[in-house]
Amino acid sequence: MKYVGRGTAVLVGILMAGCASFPPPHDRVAASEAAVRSAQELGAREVPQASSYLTLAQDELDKGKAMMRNGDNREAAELLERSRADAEVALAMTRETKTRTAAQEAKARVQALRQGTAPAVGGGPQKPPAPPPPPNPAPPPSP
Amino acid sequence: MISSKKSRVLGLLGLSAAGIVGCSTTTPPRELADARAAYTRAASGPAPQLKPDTLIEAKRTLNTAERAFSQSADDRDVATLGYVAQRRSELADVQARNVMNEQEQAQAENEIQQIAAQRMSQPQPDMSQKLEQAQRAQTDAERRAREALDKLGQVRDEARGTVLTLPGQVMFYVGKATLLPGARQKLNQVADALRDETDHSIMVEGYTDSTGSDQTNEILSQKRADAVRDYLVAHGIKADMIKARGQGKSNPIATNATATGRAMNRRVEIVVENPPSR
Repeated sequence: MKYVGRGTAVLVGILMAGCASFPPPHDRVAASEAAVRSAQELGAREVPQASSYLTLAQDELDKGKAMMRNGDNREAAELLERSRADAEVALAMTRETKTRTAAQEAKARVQALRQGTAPAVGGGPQKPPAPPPPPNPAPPPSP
Repeated sequence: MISSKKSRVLGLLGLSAAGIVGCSTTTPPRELADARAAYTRAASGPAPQLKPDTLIEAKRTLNTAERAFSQSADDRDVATLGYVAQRRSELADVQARNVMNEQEQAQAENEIQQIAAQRMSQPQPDMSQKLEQAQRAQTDAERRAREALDKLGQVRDEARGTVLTLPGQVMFYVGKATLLPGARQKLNQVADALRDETDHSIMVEGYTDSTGSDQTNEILSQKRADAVRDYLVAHGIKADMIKARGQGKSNPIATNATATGRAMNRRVEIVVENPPSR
């Protein structure tokens, strides 16, 4: 929420600055690094989809920092914005995978309890619920 | 938060200005096309209901990218705006699914608690019925056994259990451990009464009067108790439920100074023991 608004603002800020001298985007480096670190700490590397987003974010962060060293601050700022957007999706995907597992486990417990108390009368065993399909956003394009 | 909103509004105005001076493009960059598709996908999923705020931000970012494109902003700027817009839409979708998972988990845990509460408040009906039946059957069996014992002779309740006393002179030949014919008849009835006993163990105790040596009395009382036990086991009492013990002249129930008293002290007691838990 907050970061989305800020992201747009920052982007627009980049565009406004045009080709004039652009200050080194140290704050964007910090923001991107923080987002990447959060995703890593939550375990994004163990979630294949999230891991590919995290790889993108890390690459963009590294390239952005290299560009800053060459004085290409404007391009660096754009890459860093992409990096943070990627890292935030990686973080959300990791969290979503965890809550999906927790929900499935809770539902399985309900099922087991129900079968324990009330065995199916005049019918076969109750069918376990089909696992929900994993979220399937488009694969991240290469930057 | 307020300052970031303000800066965004200012930024949007600035973008318009920047767009005017940009170079012209006819086909949208791939990032913008991807961003449109991603938004359509997120808007048709759970995000409108469960994560509308992120979805609205995604839409705003997409609109900014669209405006930059239509106003012929620099290709690179449109691409970056489109890239971020696509990620915002994906974020809205993933966050909405996360909310959905949390709701489903909460609902399932609620159900688990309800089921647990139900089980606590009402025990299984068939189980309680069975328990009641078993208790009733046990009470009936105990009552029948007690009635049968009452007909046989002296019965009294003690702390250790229900005690049936059989007088020595109707049970054994004098000085011997051989059962009299009348004793067999009585013991048949005892066996009938106690055959179904499974909860209470049975102790057969032999007693003598105080005449004669202690050793003789103890041996005789043990032999007599054994004889009674063996007879009962032969007539259907489970062997692991019944024991025999010679008590000699101990625990007299009458004076050993008179013939009548000594006759009363020569006896066999059959104790239907109370279970230790009761």
